Amino acid sequence: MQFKKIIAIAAIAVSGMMIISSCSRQVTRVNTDESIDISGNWNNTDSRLVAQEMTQTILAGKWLPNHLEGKQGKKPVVVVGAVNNKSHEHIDAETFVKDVEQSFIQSDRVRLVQGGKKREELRAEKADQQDNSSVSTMKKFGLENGADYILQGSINSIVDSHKRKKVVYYQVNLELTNIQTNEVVWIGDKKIAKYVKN
Amino acid sequence: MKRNLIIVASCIAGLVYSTVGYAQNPGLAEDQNPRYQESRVKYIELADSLNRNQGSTVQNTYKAYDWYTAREERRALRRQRNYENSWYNPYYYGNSYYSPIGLSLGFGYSNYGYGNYGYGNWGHHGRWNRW
Repeated sequence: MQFKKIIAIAAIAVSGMMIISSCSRQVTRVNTDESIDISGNWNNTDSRLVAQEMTQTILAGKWLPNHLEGKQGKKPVVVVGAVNNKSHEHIDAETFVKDVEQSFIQSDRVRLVQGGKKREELRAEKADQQDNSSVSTMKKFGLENGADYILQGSINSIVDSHKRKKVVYYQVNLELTNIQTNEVVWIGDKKIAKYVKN
Repeated sequence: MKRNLIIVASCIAGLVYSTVGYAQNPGLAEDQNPRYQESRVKYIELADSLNRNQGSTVQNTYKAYDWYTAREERRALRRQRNYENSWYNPYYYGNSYYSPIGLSLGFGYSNYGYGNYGYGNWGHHGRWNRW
C-alpha cells in the first residue's frame, strides 16, 4: 500500500515536471514599433530608426528639386547599389534600404530601377522570352531606363569595452551620387550609441 | 565624260565613308573626354562582376574586442581543453589504453583490446579502467 502511494506521487511529480518544462517557452507578439533591447546587438529598433531618418531626409533633400529644375521636371531615376557593412556585427542593410525604396515609389517623385542580381534575373527572363514568347509579347533588349543616381552606403561601428561595460557606436551612411558626373548630391547618416552593461 | 564619272564616283565614295565613319564613332559631346572609348571598353568587360553586389550588403565585418565576451570565450576554450585532456576523453594522450597510435600497456594491443569488452568494462570511460 505504501509502495503504491510512493509510485503514484512519483508519477504525479514527473508528469507535473513535464508539463512545467513543456510550458517554459513563451512567445508573445509585439508591435514592430516597440523597442526591445535584449543583447545590445543591432536589432529591429536600430533598423527602424535608420529607415525613418533616411526616408525623411532623402526626400527632403535639395538634390530632388535641383534635379527637377535641371531636367525640366523629369523625375530622377535611382538604382540601389551596394551597402558595405564594416561594423563588428552581421547587419543586413536591406531592412532599411527597402524602406527608402518604398518611400521613393510611394512619394511618386523618384523612379526606381532594379540593379544587381534582380536585374540579372530580369535580363535572363528577357533572354528566355526571345526564344519562347510570342513576338507580340516578347520584351526587347536595350530599352531599360538608365539610372541618373546610384544609392550606396556603409555601416561602421566603434566598440569601447572594459570588464562588464561596453559602449557601441554605429554610424550608417547612405549617399546618392550622380552617375553621369560622379557628384555626390546627398549624404544621409544615422548615428546610434548604446551603453551595455553585462 | 570619263572625268565627270570619276568625280561623281569619288564624291559618292566620300559620302559613304563619312556616313559610315560617323555611325561607328559618334561625335563627342561638348567637353567630352576624347579617350572615353577606352574606359567604355574596359568597363563593359567588368560590368557584370562590378555590379554583382548592387542591392545587397557586403559583409566586411570585424571582430571587436569585448572584455566580457573574451572572458567567456577563454572559459569555454579552457573547458574544452580540459575536457580533451581529461580522463573522460578516450583519446587523451596519456591514456595508453585508448592510444590512437596503438600503443597499449594493457591487456589488448589495440584500441579495441579485449579489456574494452572483457572484464572490468563497466564504466569503461571512467578512470578505473585506465592504465
